[in-house]
Amino acid sequence: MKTRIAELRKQKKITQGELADAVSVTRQTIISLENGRYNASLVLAHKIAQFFGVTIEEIFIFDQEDENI
Amino acid sequence: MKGFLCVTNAKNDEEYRAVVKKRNLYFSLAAVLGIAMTIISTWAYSRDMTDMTDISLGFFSGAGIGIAIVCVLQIILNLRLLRDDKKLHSSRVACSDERLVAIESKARNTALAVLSLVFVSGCLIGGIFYPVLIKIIGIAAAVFAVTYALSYLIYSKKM
Repeated sequence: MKTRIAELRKQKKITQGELADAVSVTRQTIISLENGRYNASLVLAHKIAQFFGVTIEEIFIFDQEDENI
Repeated sequence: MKGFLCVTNAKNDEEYRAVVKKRNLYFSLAAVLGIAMTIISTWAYSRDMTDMTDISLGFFSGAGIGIAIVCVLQIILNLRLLRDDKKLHSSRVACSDERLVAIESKARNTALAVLSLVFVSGCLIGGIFYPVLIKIIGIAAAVFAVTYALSYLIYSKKM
């Protein structure tokens, strides 16, 4: 799944480590999320969206066929 | 790899502190059991109270000492965590990280699948030459199947 986490993070000028600390995960998890190798749980997606002050859909791009009805 | 020894659902540092203290208790018990296993097997062998071979004695005493050493090292690491709030917090985040928990779950499932395959293969092939193997591996496979079925039922009702 593609995400805009890296883009939003760079806009806010924060590091992966700082974002990881804010949402209580490891930096490696943030890296995997930005690379699309790992899909966040609902709670983690909500925390990241809250941190950036946007909605989940504005961060996580649901463009795959199996991600939509 | 450390996910195997540290995965937790603790939601804050205080909860995690209690988890680490409980783990130290379990590790202490396991260390005592490991040492007991070594002592009992060596004593029984030296008194000719068992039909154990040298290889069996080596396995039991080596496993016992190994378990004790690993447990003592883990207790020391946990005590260092308990003394340092920053390290405790980092450890909690690392151990409750959802990606790590997912990796540990997948690794565990894969290992169990491989173990099941080995059990069934061992039962089918080894049983031709050593009939007792069929009983041992058959019982282990049955325990696994029953545990899986019961766990599935229980978790289905809970979730």
